[in-house]
Amino acid sequence: MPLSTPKNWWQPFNKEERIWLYISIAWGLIMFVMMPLGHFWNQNVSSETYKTDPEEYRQIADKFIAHYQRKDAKGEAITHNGKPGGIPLVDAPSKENGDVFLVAQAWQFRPVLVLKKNKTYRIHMSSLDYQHGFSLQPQNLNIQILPYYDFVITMSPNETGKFFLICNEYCMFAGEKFGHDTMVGQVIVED
Amino acid sequence: MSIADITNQFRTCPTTGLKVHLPAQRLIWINAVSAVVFLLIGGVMALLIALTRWPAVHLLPQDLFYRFITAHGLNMLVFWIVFFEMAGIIFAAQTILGARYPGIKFGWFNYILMITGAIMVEVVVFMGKADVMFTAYPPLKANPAFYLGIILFAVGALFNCFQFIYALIIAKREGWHKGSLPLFTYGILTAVIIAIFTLVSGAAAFIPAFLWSIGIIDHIDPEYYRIAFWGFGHSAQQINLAAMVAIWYLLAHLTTGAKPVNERMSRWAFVLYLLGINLGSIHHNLVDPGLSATYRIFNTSYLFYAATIGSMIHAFSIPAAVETAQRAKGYTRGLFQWLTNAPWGQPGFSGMALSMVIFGFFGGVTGIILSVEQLNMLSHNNLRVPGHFHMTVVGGTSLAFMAVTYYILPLVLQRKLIGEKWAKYQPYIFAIGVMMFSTGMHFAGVMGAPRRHWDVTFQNAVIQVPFDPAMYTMLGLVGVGAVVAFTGLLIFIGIAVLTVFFGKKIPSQMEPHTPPHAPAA
Repeated sequence: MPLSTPKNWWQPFNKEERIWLYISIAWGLIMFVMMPLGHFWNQNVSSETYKTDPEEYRQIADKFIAHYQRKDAKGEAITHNGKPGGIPLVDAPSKENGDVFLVAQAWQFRPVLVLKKNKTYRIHMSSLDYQHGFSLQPQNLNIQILPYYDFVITMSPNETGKFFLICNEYCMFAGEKFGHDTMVGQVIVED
Repeated sequence: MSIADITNQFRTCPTTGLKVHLPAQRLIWINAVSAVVFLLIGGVMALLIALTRWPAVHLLPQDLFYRFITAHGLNMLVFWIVFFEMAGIIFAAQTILGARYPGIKFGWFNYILMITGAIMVEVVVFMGKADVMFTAYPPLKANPAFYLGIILFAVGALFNCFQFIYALIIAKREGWHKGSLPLFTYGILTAVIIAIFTLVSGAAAFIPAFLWSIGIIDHIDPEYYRIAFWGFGHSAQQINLAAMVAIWYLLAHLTTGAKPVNERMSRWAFVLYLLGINLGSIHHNLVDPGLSATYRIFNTSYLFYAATIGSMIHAFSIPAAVETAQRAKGYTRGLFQWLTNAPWGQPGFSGMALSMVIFGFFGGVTGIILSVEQLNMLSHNNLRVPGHFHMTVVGGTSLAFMAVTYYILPLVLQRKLIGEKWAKYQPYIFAIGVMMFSTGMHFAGVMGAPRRHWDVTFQNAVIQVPFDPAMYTMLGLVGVGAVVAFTGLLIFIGIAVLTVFFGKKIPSQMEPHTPPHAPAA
């Protein structure tokens, strides 16, 4: 009984117990093997990371946005909603032509990235203040964004359409109009 | 105090014959009562949060929502569970072994540290000076009193763990107990060992955070904090796991007379927890920057799933023990007569059985799925994660703790249960509620709903996100389930509080008790 001192408790396992143990161990081993396999099948999260700091990253990203922001016929910069003050719309360079920089800052993702279907992109992400969450919807793909870390994800979109980024790491509230729950960005994939 | 004084401080429980050391009984009392008070605060927060996440109700304003999530996390995951476990470890070291509990004053000192810390945290959080969530990830900064409160609480708990180990040594040295530890105490010892490295990891997170909040150091690496924090935050749940499994064995015995079929196997399972389980902490960091692929692969595998094999063993041996005991009573017809004739009307049995199914099956399976690196990308920080841990911590641990309380009240606190009829239904009501809201959370998360989010309809955002409408239905299920679970919680708290303060006192004989195996002088 579990409340009393057992006398001779070093008993051999019986048949049912052994069968159960073998099944459990075999299952555990299969699951374990899947871990490295997932890595070699390129299903795991990238581990490419660089140290940075918010000021340095902001400068790099601003330069990137200024260089690649989409312009209209008059040479005016275009934003996501076509209004001044909106989030800049950027035609992102594919892997061969350069890197892409995404900024998470309370409470905005910028820029709005325009990607081409089936091209490969190296997307850097870092935060300028708190920790943020990169949650791509409706794919439901989630990655953590930290300040001081430049995380590089390589991805190739294989569907066209509008995709949404929502912040899923709590990053403060501030009054009625702004806050963690209003932090939404966008990724557009074109043909 | 001389040995003669101590021998006169024992009473004998009239039902079980257990020897209870009265000063230790008072320590158990204060820790258990404090636990229930924090459970009530956390429960009220839970209801308000769930009603806010239900889009049709959307009860709380934005600031209170985040404040109450912070309070909910700390009250439930830390204060309720740890205070209850403090009562549990004293029970395991003193009452089960029939030993004296050494250092009663030290126990009170630890309690005062813990309650001071807890009250500091409550005050700071409800004043709105620490809206940083349970995790308090830097660079979010809370008032220094927040970190200090957690540190005080943790130090008190750590001292209690050392005192537990000291009590085991004294029990052996003075001859109160001889031979191997009973399985229940062995399980609790596993929990205490896990608690020690958990709390050390907590110190590695919260002490730098405290120094940073008062300006002594000016920067904390966010990834360092995340790893140290989860060494505390997740491992703390493994303390609960080991304690809960020990309680399952206890309840199976109290309700059906079950004996572990093979103690060697059950004990090995606890050892596997010790070896493998702390690696689980890194599941929280699988999609973080800064970790190498090898480190992720090794840790996600839980070291060849050692801990999972431990849980598989318990999942086999506890039902096997119950079956053996039931068959010995004559319930031998067919494959399942032992189960259909089990004491389902006793809250101890139904609580244990439901806790095993919700924790082991639903909570365990969802947890293993979330911990797979490739799948973690699809679930990190969305509602699927709270869906999983409400099955384990609420439907599993809390329900098991509630079920054992119905026995602790008469056996240790000497009070006749008030509202036994209510107690009979309480585990079912609570379990149904927990399953409803956890399932709702899980599927809302699968459809993309983020956790810790006030408004998934994005009414104030500059870009609108079109979610699957089914997600809002699932969030509605969260709200309804939370109301049901809260009803179950209130019944439990009602019974516990009424019994502790107004229950009929069960008379118990004071009997001098001396160490039965005292070494010859």
